[in-house]
Amino acid sequence: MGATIRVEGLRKSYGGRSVLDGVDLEVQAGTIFGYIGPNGAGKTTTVKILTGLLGDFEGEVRVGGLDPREQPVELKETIGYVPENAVLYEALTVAELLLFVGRLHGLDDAVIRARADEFLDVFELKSRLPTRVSTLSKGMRQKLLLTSAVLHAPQVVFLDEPLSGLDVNAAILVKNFLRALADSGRTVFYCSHVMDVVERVCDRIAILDGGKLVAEGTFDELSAARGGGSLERIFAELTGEGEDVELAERLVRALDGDGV
Amino acid sequence: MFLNLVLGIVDRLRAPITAFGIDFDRFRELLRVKLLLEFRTSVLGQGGMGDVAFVLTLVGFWLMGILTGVAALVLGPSVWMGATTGLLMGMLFLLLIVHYGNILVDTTDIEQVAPHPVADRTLFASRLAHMMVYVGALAVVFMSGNLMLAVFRGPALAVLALGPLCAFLAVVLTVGVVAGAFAFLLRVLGPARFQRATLWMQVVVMAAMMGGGQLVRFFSRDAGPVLDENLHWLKWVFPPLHFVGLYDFVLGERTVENGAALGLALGLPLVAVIGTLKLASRFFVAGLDGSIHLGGTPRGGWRPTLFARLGVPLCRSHAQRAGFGLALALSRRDPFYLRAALPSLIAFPVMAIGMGLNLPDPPGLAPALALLVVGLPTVLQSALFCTDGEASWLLEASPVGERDAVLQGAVKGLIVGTIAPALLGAGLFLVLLRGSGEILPVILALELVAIAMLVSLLRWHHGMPFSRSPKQQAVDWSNMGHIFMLLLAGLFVAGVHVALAWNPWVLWISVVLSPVPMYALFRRVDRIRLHAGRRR
Repeated sequence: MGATIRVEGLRKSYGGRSVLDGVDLEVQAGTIFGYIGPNGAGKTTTVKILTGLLGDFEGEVRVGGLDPREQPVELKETIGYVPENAVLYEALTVAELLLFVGRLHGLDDAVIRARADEFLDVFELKSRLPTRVSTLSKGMRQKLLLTSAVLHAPQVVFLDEPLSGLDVNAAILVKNFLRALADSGRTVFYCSHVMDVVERVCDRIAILDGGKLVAEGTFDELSAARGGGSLERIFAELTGEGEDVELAERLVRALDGDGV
Repeated sequence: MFLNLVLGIVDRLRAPITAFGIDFDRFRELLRVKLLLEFRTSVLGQGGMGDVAFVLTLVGFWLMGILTGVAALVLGPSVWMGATTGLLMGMLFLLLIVHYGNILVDTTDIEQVAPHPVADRTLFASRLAHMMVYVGALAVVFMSGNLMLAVFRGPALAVLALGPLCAFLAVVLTVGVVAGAFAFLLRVLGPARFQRATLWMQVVVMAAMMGGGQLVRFFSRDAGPVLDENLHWLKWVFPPLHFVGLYDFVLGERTVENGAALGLALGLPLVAVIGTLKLASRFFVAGLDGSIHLGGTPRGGWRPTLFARLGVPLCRSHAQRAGFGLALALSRRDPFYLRAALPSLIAFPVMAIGMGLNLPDPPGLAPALALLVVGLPTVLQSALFCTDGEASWLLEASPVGERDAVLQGAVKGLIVGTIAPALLGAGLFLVLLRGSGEILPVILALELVAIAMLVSLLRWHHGMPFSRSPKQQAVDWSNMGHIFMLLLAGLFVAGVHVALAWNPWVLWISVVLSPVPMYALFRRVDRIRLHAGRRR
């Protein structure tokens, strides 16, 4: 299968501050692609560009052959997006929210109901259809968000911390769902700070630091290049200060001191 | 500078604030941050103290202050004191009910505040002080215009000393009474029902203020003289008369009644504030977290409500239906929208009904129902904002190229879910109260009002409904012209109604034919577009 996502020389800055500094990426169809980096590395900005939410950038970007800058509407028809910390209309019911999102994607109500019923049944949320979003737990909201993001059967799914708030069983279910999505030829672009999940779930992993890609490959390739170890260790070596124990002790000392 | 002035005043009040059982440091910090956030967004045209609407309100208060100052020159100092405090209290009371009272029940920062060790009373007091900043500024401006003239009527020293004192007491009493009502509802009904109860209190009080007098007049047409004879009790319960008594007492009229009035003038504000803070000692944080919505949620999950079913025949695309469903649901449940729109939306029809009942026919109904036309901007302006405005990312992330379709659906949702029920409700009440013989004039009036509203709606500069957070609210100058035109449209509707209702045959024909332009105009809602400056 060919590349679904192709990024060349991607640059983006906010008020003179560079956030992405020449990122090159290629993500093949039918894979789960892990995109990781420290806070402020530029992950969310990349995802916003790839999903057509940010049009002001430099470089060449294609998602499913579409240019997010020139064809944002066509692009959004083919992708699904689960942002981290998504705000939802709390006053809507679960059913109303799904109908709203499904209709925005041009789906008939009957199709929305049929697909959503399956998802909500599996996610054990069906009884929550008439209840308002404000009454849902964090995990339930995450399941609802995931359902709303894939309701239109997108070819590419962008996920930012999709397992946040999910219990163990639900997290396993979602991970298996992502694998099944990839096996069906769809592409999953997965952003997370949970290294062991990325290590186990993703087919390929890219590490972003300071707006630049510092590593890219399968976990085995990354591990071999860094002399073995977990993804967490590789990540810390590539992006961290390497003095985490000393830093942690400094924090405790700050709590014990009176600042005088 | 203004913030420092406010905080300077607060610092000087440290002892009494602490005496009320308020944690002063936390209280001061809560107030400081709230005001700081408002000042940061208060460039001209945005919410907060720099809000253009607030500046206009200040100008209005200054002019009214001058007007009551004239009372001193023409009618004498006692009348001046009564008119000044009465008008000030009345205007502040209305503003508090409609607008500034919402500061007390503002939920936008509760998630940040609630996890911290802030006592209910301290949080309530900080909201009260926040409210007082606005109200205090309005009162100062009002009195500046007022004293400027009153001082010439003299005695100058008494005017300059007692005017500000009585105005201050009037402000404290007004704020205390309104806040006290909120705190009372919280204490009596508990946190779960607090938000809903306070909303209905605002609706009922505003409706009573706007149309209550007319309704009382209609139902007590034969009891007028009896009421007039018994008005002397007013001086014990009508606070402005207490301030008149205080003024007269200090200036030498040392009667028992004036002494009692002085006691009430000084004592009631204190009682109101102490009582309010005592009542607000529990449940306030939990109360802000409570829910607020109108009507039930659909019990069958996917099964649409009666109103939602109308979306199928009325909407032409999936995007329109998305907007229709969103507007319909949020216009019944979103706390910010409900607080902003509902009191006016109910008060205007109540006022219209009141006028419609008392005015002779013709012109009778027409000018009354023309008032309803003016209610339209409230709905459209308020519907721009939503408690969860940031959820509009769902729209940004969706493949809707021309968002106009979503707007068109949302406007239809507002018409079906909000405007039409308000019009029909007003019409139904008028028919019930005036008699079935009035059914045709009422129907014609409703049709004409609907036509005027639709014409205005088609020319309105639309923003995407429910897409902005309340904290980002902006004063919309682009529609000011339309709002003024609506006032004229109201008068035009009244004139047309008089002309058409005069002859029974013409009335019949008008009633039958009016739905034709109504339908044509409604179809043109499919052509409205987002205003160029508001395509977000």
